Amino acid sequence: MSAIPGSAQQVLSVTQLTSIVRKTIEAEPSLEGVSVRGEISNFTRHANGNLYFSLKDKDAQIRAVMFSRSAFGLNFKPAEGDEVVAAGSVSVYEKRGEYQLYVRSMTPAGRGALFLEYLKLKKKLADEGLFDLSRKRTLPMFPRRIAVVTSPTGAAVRDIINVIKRRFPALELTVCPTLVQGDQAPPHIRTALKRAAALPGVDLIIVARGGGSFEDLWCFNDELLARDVAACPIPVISGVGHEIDETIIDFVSDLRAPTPSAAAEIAVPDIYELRLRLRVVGDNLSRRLIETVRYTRSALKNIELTLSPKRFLERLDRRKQTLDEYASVMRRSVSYKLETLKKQIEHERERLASIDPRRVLARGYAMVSDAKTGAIVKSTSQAPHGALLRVSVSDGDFTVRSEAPATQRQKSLSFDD
Amino acid sequence: MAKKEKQNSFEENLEKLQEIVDRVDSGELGLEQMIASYEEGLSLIKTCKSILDGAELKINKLVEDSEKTEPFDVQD
Repeated sequence: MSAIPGSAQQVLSVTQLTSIVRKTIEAEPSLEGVSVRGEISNFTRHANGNLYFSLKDKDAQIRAVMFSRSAFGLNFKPAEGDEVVAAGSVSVYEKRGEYQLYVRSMTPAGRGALFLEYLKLKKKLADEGLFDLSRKRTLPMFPRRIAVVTSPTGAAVRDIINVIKRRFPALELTVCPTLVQGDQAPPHIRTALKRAAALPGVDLIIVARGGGSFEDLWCFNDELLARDVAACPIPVISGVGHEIDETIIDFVSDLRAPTPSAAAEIAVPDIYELRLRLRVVGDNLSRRLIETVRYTRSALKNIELTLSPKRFLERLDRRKQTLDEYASVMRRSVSYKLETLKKQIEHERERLASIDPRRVLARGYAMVSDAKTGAIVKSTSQAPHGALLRVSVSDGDFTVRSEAPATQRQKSLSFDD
Repeated sequence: MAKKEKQNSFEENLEKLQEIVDRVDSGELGLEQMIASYEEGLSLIKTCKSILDGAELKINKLVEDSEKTEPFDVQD
């Protein structure tokens, strides 16, 4: 098929030539079932569902097409700039004389793939309960020795030291150097973490790294590292990247700090606050003591007053006054009683007067009694001849002697008849 | 080791101090107990302050493949 210039030879049509090229390419085994990694550019999605784009890297690019029936099976949405691995075969699109990759399947690579992986691991560990709040350990209030797992040359370690120096310099800080980026970083960090936890007297570990891209921080999404952190016997604070960065270690650590500086802030108390607190406590104690002294003094004064002669006399006077009051009450009640009795006697006297026999004498009757014995004479037998009798009339008495023999009156028969 | 004990006592002192404050705040102390608590509290505060005053951040770095530490210089 080689054509020697100038020699009589077959002249091909464009179609024929293109067909030869296509057949040659399709016959090449290394171009069949090929996988290629590159970045998507000039991406268009045709109305019929076909995807047209180029795959490129730093130095080259290739046209690619993914027909709708294949594109339907994609588990992500390809977009301009995505790093992907496309699998398919190379052939020629004769109409335009272009060779291109016919993509049958495609997966994200680079960041997209990493992100999917990250989400998968996050879900897996979350399902295992590694992120549960109940697993979080309490951080020491006054750490004695803090181990900082980080790069010894980065800004992170400098920030942490500065913050701790300012806030609470009463401790020992041990830097546990490690790589914090790249494929080698995860095992490196794990080793450093283990050594940190084994330090004598260490009671807090900070794992830190300054900000970086998602890929830069990727080593902190390592599953084994995550498990090590979860199982670490010493409480761990993570301070990886900036506020917006989120890595798996943030979820398994006992506390997630948004930055390395913030991790240091959280790790230690503030010495100024402590001093202030000490001063407040001291002031309170003094105040309480003064209060107690004052109270005790006034209590003493009360006792003293109670026992003083003046108070004693006052109390005596009060008792006397009470007694006087009792006395006057009694006096009043006795005189009342006397008055009542007097009235009663007067009443009785009047009653007795009404039945006085002398009042009968006033009506002309006389009362006769034995002059010697005083006995009232009610019968003739009491007045024998010669008996000396006293006769009482209304205004006095006189004595008489009985002369005529006593005659008995007939029993009052005449009256009865 | 001395450092460690010192650190220990700071936290312990603070705890003891809190206990004293609670006791004093309860209002159940007599004068003598109050004076004793006051003196104890004051001495604890003094100890705490002196620990804070004397505090100096000790910074070191783990030596590779060793349990040892070496001084660590912060690069500014």
